[in-house]
Amino acid sequence: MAAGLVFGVIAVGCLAAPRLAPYAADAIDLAHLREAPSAANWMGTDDLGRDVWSRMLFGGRISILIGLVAALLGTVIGALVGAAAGFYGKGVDNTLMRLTDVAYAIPSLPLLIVLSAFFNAAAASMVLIIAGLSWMATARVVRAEVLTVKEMPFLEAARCLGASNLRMIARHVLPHAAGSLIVGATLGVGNAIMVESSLSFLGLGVQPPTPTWGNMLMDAQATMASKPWLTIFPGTAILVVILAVNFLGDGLRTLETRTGSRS
Amino acid sequence: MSRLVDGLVIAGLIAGCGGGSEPKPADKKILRVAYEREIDLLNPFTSQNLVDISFSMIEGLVTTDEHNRFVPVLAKTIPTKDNGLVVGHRDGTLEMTWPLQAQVLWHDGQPFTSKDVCFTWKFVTNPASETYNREQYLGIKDCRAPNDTTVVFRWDGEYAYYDGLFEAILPEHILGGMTAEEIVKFEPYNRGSKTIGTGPFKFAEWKAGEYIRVVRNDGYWRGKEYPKIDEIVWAFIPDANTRLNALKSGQYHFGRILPIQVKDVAALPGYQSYLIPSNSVMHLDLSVKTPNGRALFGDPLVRRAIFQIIDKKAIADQLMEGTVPLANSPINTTSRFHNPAVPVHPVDPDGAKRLLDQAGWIVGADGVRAKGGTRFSFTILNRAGATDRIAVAQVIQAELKAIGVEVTFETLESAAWTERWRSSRWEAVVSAWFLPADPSLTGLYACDGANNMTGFCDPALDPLLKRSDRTLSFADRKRDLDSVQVYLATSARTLPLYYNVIPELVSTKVGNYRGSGTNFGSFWNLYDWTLAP
Amino acid sequence: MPAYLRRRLLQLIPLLFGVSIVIFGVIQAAPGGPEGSLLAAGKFVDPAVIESYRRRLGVDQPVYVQYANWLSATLRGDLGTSFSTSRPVGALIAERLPATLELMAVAFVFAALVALPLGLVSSRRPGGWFDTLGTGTSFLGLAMPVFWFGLILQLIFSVKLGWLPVAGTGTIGAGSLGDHLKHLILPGFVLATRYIAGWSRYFRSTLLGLRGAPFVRTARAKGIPEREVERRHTVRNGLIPVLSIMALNLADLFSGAVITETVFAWPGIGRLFVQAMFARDYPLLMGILLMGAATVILFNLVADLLYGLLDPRIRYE
Repeated sequence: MAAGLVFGVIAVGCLAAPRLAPYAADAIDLAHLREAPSAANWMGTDDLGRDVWSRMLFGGRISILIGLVAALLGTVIGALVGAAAGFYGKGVDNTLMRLTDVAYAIPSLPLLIVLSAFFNAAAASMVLIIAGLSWMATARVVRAEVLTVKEMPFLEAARCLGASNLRMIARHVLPHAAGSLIVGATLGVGNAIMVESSLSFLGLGVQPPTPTWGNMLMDAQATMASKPWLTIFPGTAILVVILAVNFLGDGLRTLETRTGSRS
Repeated sequence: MSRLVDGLVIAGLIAGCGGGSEPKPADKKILRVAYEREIDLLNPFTSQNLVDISFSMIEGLVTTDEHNRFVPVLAKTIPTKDNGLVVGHRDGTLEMTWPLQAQVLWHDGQPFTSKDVCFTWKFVTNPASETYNREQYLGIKDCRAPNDTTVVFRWDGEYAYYDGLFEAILPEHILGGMTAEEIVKFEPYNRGSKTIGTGPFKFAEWKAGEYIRVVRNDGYWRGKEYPKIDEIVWAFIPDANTRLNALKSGQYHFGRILPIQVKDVAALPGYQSYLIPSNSVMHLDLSVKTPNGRALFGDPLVRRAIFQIIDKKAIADQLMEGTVPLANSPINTTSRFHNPAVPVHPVDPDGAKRLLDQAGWIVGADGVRAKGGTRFSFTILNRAGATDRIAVAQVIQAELKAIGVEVTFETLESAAWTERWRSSRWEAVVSAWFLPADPSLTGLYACDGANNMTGFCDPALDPLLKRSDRTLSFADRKRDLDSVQVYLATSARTLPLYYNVIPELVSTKVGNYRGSGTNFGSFWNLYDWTLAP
Repeated sequence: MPAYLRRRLLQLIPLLFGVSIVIFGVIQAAPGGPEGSLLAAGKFVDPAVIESYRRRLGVDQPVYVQYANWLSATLRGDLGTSFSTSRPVGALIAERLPATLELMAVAFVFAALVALPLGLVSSRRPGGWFDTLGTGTSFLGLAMPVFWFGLILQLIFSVKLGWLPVAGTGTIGAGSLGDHLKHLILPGFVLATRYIAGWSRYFRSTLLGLRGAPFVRTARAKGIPEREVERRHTVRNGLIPVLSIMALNLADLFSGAVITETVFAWPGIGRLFVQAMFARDYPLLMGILLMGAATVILFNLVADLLYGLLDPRIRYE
């Protein structure tokens, strides 16, 4: 759970970027380019003389928001598709699951690359694209859960009492699947941050002047040997956050299997 | 982290054992180039990204040297009126005689003759050949081959760019008898097995996605002593950072790096970096094709104000770390046609503010200037991944913000960017074009110029531009182009920022390297390069 | 089994059809056309040439006509001609596939060599120091941005130490098996780190489950030594689910190595895709994505069948 704490601190810090950052993220200063860390600029300055520490905070805000929102959205889409397919069965099930199969079959990174070339490479479209390509596994898991739960006596009881389908999904099915959903979503956060950085590498990530850890890391690669601080800070931030998220997911999974086996 | 490194070391040791006894590399002089892109195909006329590799194998009538001038290759001399090889007729047509090198053989031993030149002319003028500069060849109405070493063109008038054409010659004995469509698709020529040229090197091997290898042409026409290297290998390493690492590890003799990487390699033993000035100017273009663009940039006072706030010296010296020369004209200082006496927009923030006030753009409550309800806000169209241009755009954005002008960005992936640029649906771009050694500006700035997407059109400029293209007299052309450069600066249509440089990192073992910044690149004299062991 | 297999294979047809429509739609809808690459090199192109180019490639026709042409050719086994290279798409893919396959194979061997022992030892004492440490280290590989990691390794092992080459598959003109293997180490390792965490965690939890399984307890009760039980019962049975995960990862063939191949200038299918993307080489993009989808579907089937082998309770009918 230390991982959760680490992630929490970083996330809160970045979300509070406007309060914490000593400079604006786009405060260009051509007189102080690519300077090493100093008292005035804790993490040095970048290729446009901007304060790296401030950009780390603002960039982290975007990166983490992309991660959180994309993971959340992906999970919600997946849960809805899976629940609908499992609950309504028959034609609905068939249509939705074939759709899932199609989405699942197309190699995701290439499709991401194609899709991100479409849009204006803004953070919002990045979120939609990543979420739109990461709901399939959740859909399958939720559908399986629903199918299992559907046959359980208490649901029949609920149906007899006149509960609506929607209500039953919300009240009985989703809580059952909650464990795996949370784990999936947690890992999804790390995945989305990684995907954004990979797209940045190809020049297709979130575009300047909006900072993200991914595009900061990418922009600094060219002078990585002589100005290491420019890569070390964003690189390490990505590393630590994804690491934290994975530990968190791993911990949650253990927790879930333990409680799961008890019930 | 250290544990990670330990793991790596162990993995390295395990896998490093596989070596065993390696065969000794033969005693050959192999020039290794870390090359910045992977090429599509080897036909110099139809390839979209083959810029310089082909010149090792395929020669043309002319090429360009390190002084940005055309020099003859398969031609013995470049015809001019002065040397009597260009004769004007009364009806305005010209008779142009190109004397060719004798005793030149194609790589397969067949003789190269003037018929091959006429064959090439027929191919490039065919629309199906998809030659990028096909229209430039259309002034040639007839091609004759009175004997094997003389070719005569009949032009329908004077075209200043004539000496830059025929950068490659195609072998008629290989491609003759095919239609242009068939030649474009002819895989043996596109892929190497029949890429027959007259150059100092012969095609040897093309490993898809990895490298192209050429070997010495023992029958090269310049003499037995040429070329002085046995083989050349171009390894495709498109990622600039990987390429830098590859060069630093000492595995390559030549490679192009980024301007901001120049300092990194200053102390690299065994290498020397050269900043090759290219015929490419980084500039800010404004467009009046969109309603917003017209409202903002239609007024020359406004454009002048914008140009006065942009500190190009700071961009060149700080952002580009002093690697690039400042530009005040689209024509590089390396060209004979450069005009050093153009008016310069001084950096003058107060003056810029005054000009905008004068033009009626008054700072509003939100800090952005406005006039009649229109805010002074425009969008720079950026090309994704073009790091240097986007950095420049960000400087411009920050500087304009200081005088109450709002700049936003729209960034498109490169193919999408090109489509938008061509459709004129943009307000401003930071861009750079690769001009040929011939400095014609007509396509860019004439009202109907094929690459004038800005909507600027000036009846006074057009005659100058057109006349500059239609003369063989250096003095006349220089005078016209000088006026054009002055005119472009005073009318504040485009803001040249700096001339791009191509930093080339060259091993000190390489001799006779004479880097050239034209669109033909630095490999123009490969026949002469040497390689110390 | 054969009946089940036949049914599953038949299901692939509509699936691939759906996939092809989605891919074609997405690619065609993307702004910018193949003529963009005519101008990408920064040279000026005669507009008439651009029109002629578009006509030759057939991209001036309506999208549904293009799709119909593409589909009918593909059904006849012809993936079309690449726009940018004028060569058959099938040949281009066939040229690049071996390099990617080889890189994947090396990465898989690296990853398996690390992940399986890691999972096994971790499972002996879950929550112990080795478990915690192993998990942490393997997660590092998962969390490291691939391109950064690759460049760091190049700086250390190629630039500073001079032990390993930076790019390519071999020293051109002086190639040997040893030289080739040296070129494989860095990209293979970088790619492997993506898999280690998943595999070792999965193997560990499978083993944990098996250690408590009745048949393992029986074996233990019979007095078979613990190591022997582990070797003959736990590990053997625990390997199959991991193998099916590996099969699923292998299906990533067409996308998993895009970044690694770019960083190490490895002439694989991933780099080919990126080039095709920027050049709007529609037939090549379609070809690569379709092959990728087919691979994913096929390996999913393989993974399912592997599960069947593992669990005798699952019967395919």
